[in-house]
Amino acid sequence: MKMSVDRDITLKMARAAQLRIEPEEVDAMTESINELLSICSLVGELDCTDTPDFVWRMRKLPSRREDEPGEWADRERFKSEAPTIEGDFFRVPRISSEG
Amino acid sequence: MKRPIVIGLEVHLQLNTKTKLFCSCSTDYIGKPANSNVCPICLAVPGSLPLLNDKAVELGSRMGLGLNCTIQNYSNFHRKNYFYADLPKAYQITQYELPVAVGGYIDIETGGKTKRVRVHHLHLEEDAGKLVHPTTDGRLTGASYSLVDYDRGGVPLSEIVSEPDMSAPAEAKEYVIRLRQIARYLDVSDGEMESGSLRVDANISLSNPDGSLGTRVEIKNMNSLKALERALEYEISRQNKVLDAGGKIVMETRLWDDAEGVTRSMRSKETASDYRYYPEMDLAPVVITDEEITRYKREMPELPCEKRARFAEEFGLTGEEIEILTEQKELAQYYEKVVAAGAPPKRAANWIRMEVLRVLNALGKNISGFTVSAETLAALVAKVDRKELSSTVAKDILDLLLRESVTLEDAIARCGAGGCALTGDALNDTILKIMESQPDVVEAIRSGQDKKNAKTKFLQGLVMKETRGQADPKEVAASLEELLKK
Amino acid sequence: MRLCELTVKEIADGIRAKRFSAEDAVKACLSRMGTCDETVNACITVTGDRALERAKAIDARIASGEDAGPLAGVPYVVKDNFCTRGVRTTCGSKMLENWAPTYDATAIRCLDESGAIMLAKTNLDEFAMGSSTETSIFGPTRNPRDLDRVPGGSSGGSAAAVAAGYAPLALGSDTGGSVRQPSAFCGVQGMKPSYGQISRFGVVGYASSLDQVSPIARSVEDLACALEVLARPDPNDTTCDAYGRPKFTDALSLPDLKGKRIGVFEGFESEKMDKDLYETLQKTANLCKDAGAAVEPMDLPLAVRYGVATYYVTALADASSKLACFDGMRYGTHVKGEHLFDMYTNTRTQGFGEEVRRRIILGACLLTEGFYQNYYAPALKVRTKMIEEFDDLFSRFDAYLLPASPSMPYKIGMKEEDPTRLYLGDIFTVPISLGGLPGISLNMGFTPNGGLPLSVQLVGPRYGDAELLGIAAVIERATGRPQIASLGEVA
Repeated sequence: MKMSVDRDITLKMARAAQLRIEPEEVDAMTESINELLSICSLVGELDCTDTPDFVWRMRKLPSRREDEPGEWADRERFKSEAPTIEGDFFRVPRISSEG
Repeated sequence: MKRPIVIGLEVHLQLNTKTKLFCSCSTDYIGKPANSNVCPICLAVPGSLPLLNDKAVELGSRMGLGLNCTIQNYSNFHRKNYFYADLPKAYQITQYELPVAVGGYIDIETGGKTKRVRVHHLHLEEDAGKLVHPTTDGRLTGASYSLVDYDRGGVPLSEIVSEPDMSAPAEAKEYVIRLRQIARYLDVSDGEMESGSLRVDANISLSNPDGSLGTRVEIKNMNSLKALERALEYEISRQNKVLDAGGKIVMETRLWDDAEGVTRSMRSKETASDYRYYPEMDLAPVVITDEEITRYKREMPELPCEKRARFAEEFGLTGEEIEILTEQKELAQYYEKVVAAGAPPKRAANWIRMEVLRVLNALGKNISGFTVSAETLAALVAKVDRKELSSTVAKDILDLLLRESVTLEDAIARCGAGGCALTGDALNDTILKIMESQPDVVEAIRSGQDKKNAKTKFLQGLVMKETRGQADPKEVAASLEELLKK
Repeated sequence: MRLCELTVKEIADGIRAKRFSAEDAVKACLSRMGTCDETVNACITVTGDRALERAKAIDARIASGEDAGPLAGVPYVVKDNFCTRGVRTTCGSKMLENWAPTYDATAIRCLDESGAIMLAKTNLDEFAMGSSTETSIFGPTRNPRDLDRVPGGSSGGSAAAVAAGYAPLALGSDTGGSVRQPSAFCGVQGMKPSYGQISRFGVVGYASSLDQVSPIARSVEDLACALEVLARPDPNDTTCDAYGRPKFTDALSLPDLKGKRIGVFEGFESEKMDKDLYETLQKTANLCKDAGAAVEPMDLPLAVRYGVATYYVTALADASSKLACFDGMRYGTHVKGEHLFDMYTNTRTQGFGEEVRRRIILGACLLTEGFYQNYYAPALKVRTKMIEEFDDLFSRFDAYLLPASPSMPYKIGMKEEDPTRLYLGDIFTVPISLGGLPGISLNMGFTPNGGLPLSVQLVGPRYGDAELLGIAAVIERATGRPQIASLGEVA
């Protein structure tokens, strides 16, 4: 089934993805999304009852990692280069978006 | 109006693995500086890929078996997408449609009856990091900034979702107690609510008069069993009030405020309505072979219900005795060792219930802090059983064994109908104590003013009184003389 | 012949036989790069000093009689979405403009262990999203065969570098054609191996079930050499199920195509594609017949009809999730904000280019409640059906031929306005990715007037990479290997 979006939904999607769209770009973005939704709606055309979901067939049983601890040699260097590092912590501005 | 209560619980257990769910960082983060146990994978550095921990699969399966679930040969992971500071990838890798274990139950005792609470499923997921807020109460509200520590991020969790089969806060509490006990018995998790290795979220609704289910409210932030019970009781009361007044219950998440004793609606931002779940394709599916399941079953430690049944059958103990002895696995194991060392089961059970637990409660310790070995206790209990010792004397002997490191034989030798002898250094300590309490008398004796020994005898009398006749008078006299000379 | 015109195998053999040194090879390539790249703009970061140091070390080892590896001294370049320790890895984006990883991708480690020497990080469409290498913050890369045209994408820089003679070998990443299409556009050989053949660890992800490390070179033999070094198990990637160390080069001794059943794709309207490319496909089919193959027409109705739709649903959804980790906290660009989500939004809106932002929003939409049920969920099942179609096909054929691209390289800056045509540019490459099949883009000569490259794509069953290389080698023997672009006045 083909679906489509309007300006409001486009803005909502952008917000959900933590992106800002300028007011003058919203219409173009909405059109883009609708073009894609139109092209991709073909996936609904095929009758797939009883078809299992895609999953890669593997040639051998998937491996699992041994439960043995390891240290990251470059940890301190990485931390020191992080944009928001403060001492040992990463610092973020206030989490609450109100007031 | 009393409406039927419907409660379901989601319990998160931190699994006892050495490393995180998807990387080799250690899970031992308590007391370490922030961001010590991190690596490219759990920090979501570009190009990194998750690597599933074998032990986590084993422990999750083991817990599933302990909950009478069916372990799935095939399960997979999904991504739960949302942005938050404690989530580096901006998605949590969890199991959504195909979990590791499905369809189990826990039997709880409620009102003298057994009730079966069904477990819908158990799934694996990774924990989030920790946020530190520089406010006076440590809470998010009012914090002008926050600090993020990813040490806990990626630690393996198993989430156990029950069916909404519980109908009272007491049942919910009992369910958590049983679940925790199973987790501890199976060495799957420490199950500590205080340190966060066991977390409970509750879903509660009140049914409508026609029997249909009411609107569900989720309750979070209950950090103890007591809080769980109080929060549910409060919520039942709150919902009844709203409905009595003709209002509607809003489907929402509410946080328990332990200080105020109320639940509060959470800010909507934090309850993202759309997590955009979809399959995690950086991981191959989880395949648990029948051979592995057989091995997990074979290697399972004994379950609480199995131990309880065995105690009843092998040792002929009452229900109450069994409950107390098996509440903690370590205590039950201690008891078993005592019996194995030759103590009669019933009497041993009594001793542990009455004497050992008394001591432990007074000391605020658990059985691992109990210094008397199972073999020693067994010998003592056996002697009582054979009437070689009275139980009164035996209790004194036990106290002595706990105070001093002496052998059982020595302890028995020192203790008679009047109590246990005080001797050696312990006696000297008592003598010194008396001497310190009578400085003038000691001074007088030391300066040679005790020609008739009256003062010395006075001190001796005080010592004998203090030791309640448990010291040998000759030893007291000799030791006092020695100490007065110094 | 100049050193920069030699193939991987020729350079490796030459260095081993001490006809020239690793330092000679590296210097020749760097010199070529230095002369041409001002114009071509294939490289983002050149690691010349490091390369020369490594070359000297390799030469020293060889001089002392040591075996310095199967590709000792062979220069290579790598797409700038492969993590390289200490060398910035930008993904063509402002978001990572100055970010240097603390680790090497597994593919890089494999090449380094084999003795190969990295010369540069190459240009790409930002975060591998695009098919023309025009969306990078470092500007477009020009096609060495015609400098006014695009090199294709997203691995356009790597393909252009090989075509221009900067190195005989390049690494790219192919998600829906990102190595096969630029290889076709630049007139070189490119191969996307079977999914799971090469570890993805350290490649900045786009779509987890589609991304594959893919080599680009000027001969099929070189592709086989690269695969030999790259295709091995890796504990850092559990979706990689390569095992053992297969000798892909052994397959190259296939003398002809006797006994091979080759399918030629016919399920599309020839008016919808470039005439020259269509004819090339027919010519290649005849070539296969001449080499002894049983050649028959074949069709892939599901792949043709549903491939593009299924691909975009799958890839964009995954991309929106994979790129969510870029929030300015732990690495990369950081833009301040009043509150947490403000910081996220500022950082991401300023750090990502327009195309990337568009795709993220599209992807987020496809996973949203309602859209998921109508798009993503059905796509998961259509993909299964497409794989069934491929399985059935490969019971009848050993390999099949189809175009690598419906169009010839187009002019830089020419934006495709019709979205249907824009998406359908991938029609021949995306189904192969969805099926996890190996696909080789083979150069089949150049147009007589414009000198633009002609190409075909050869596809085999999953894990049939060696056999496919064998068949490709036979075809290449008949056509000849592409030479490096002359680059006229630039060179």
